[in-house]
Amino acid sequence: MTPPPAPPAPDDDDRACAVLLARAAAGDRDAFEALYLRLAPAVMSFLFHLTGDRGLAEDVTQETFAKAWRAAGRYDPARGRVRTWLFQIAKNHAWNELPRWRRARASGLDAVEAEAAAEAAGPEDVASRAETGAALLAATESLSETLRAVFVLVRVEGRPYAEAAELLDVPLGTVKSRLAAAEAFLRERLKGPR
Amino acid sequence: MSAPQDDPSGPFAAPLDPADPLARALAALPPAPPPPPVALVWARIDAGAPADEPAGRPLPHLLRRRAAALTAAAAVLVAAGILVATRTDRPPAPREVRVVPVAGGARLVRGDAVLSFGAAREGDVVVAGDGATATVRLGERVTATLGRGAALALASEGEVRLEAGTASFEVGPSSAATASPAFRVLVDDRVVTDRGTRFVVARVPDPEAPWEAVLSVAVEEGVVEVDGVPVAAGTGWAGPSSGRGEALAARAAPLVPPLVSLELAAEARAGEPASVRLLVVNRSPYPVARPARDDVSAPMLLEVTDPEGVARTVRVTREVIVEGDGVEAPREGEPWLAPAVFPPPDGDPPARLLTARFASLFPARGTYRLRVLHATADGASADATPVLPALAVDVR
Repeated sequence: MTPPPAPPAPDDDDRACAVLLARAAAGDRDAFEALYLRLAPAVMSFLFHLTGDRGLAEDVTQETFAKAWRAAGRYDPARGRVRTWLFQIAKNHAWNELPRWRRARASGLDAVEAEAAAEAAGPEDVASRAETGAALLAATESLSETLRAVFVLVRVEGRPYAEAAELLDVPLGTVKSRLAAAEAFLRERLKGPR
Repeated sequence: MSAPQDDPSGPFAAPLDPADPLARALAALPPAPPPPPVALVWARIDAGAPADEPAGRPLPHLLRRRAAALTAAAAVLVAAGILVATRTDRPPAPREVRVVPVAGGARLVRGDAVLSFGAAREGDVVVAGDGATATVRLGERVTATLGRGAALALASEGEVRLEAGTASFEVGPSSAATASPAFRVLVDDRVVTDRGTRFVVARVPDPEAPWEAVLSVAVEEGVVEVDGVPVAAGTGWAGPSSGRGEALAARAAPLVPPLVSLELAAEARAGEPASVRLLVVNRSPYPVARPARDDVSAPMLLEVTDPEGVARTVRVTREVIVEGDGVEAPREGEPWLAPAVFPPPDGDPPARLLTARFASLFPARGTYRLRVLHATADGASADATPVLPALAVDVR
């Protein structure tokens, strides 16, 4: 089994984020806002591609940073960088919220239609949208959570393998194998019927 | 169709073949929308319970146990209508004394409180509130001056634990009759043992890892020991406050001497006393040794090069400091305080303007050059103004 990779060495940006978080832990709101400006776009992008839903991504982004504010004093730099810590909060909260969000979305008329479309989207439908990003987003919803997280982090967000491994707390080899599995699955979904 | 093989040794996934439908779909992904305004996050935080306040840095163990008591102390202060300055850039509050005993052994001190620790119980904590420093008498021999927000716990007789912040200690001589044991300051795993009279101890966040603590000791007079390692007057020691049993010498980091810039306070005349302003900037988060009282261990030296090119050094002792911006002037029987060199609570390097008066700096007319040096522990000296040219002074 491949051993867990060493966390990437912190760079200046990581150190700056750590200082900002430390100040936020002491109640410095300006520092917290500076941290938000630095990292919220990345968190939002990750969540948007992870959930495929802008509303949910916005909600989880807000909750992620609210949690970060509350827990800033408990952040342990030895266990990872601030970015990774935030992504972990975001991912965990998204996983918790996703089923409820889908149920809530399904309860509305538009959501019902959207959900029905997603549910009914057979290979033909997917194939007709194969060139679109929307099709890919829809297809990723069919991935398991573990495969989806790896695919979004590595392939969509362009994060290095080691960072994905650190964030998901799995060995590097697992990240690569999950990515290969996710890509194989998505190709099949995008290809449609043979 | 098969995807290109990833480079197993590369940090990133290898690019996909452009003909791969997955690659085309990835390229067509809609851009992520911008994050919501931070105001929405604040609204969520502010709408939350009191627990939504930042958790703060992990408190030292004694303070953690007494967090509720400290909160109560703060409430008592508010109820008493005591003005609590909340911004560091405000002028110092009136020098009023407030000592608030609180159940649980915590005492919140504001102003120049003189509090006898003799009546305190083991485990009691004294916390200096905002504003002025607090002076605490620890028995007959020891006077501790707490910097803003410092917390000092009575560990046992002759022994205190610095829980947070900076404290300056002045230890009087032990009488032969009492033969008092050495005074000790505990900081996390470290033990600072007094072998002299004046020293500053600080427990500050590690600048590289703000969640770790750094112990910093600056010795003004005499000698102290940090876990048995002697630290002489005019020098300091800084290193991790944790790590019992680890070799200190290998882990200790030297204190960063302050940066000092110079200017004349008044026109210089030959043969007359001269006043020089020293802008002292602490470049480290640690306290630095202050100008010492005696003429032997003073860490700060003024190098004066006369018109003939001959250089001599004059020590900047406490006696020549006649005034200071933000500096408490020495009072009779009390230690001279220079909060200028204390670690800043907000992370900004503190800068303080001191005025030194020398009886005979310029014996003759001509152009002199001045610069500040710092004495180091090994007796050598280092330029304290490495980025500044020497100050040229035309003496009439």
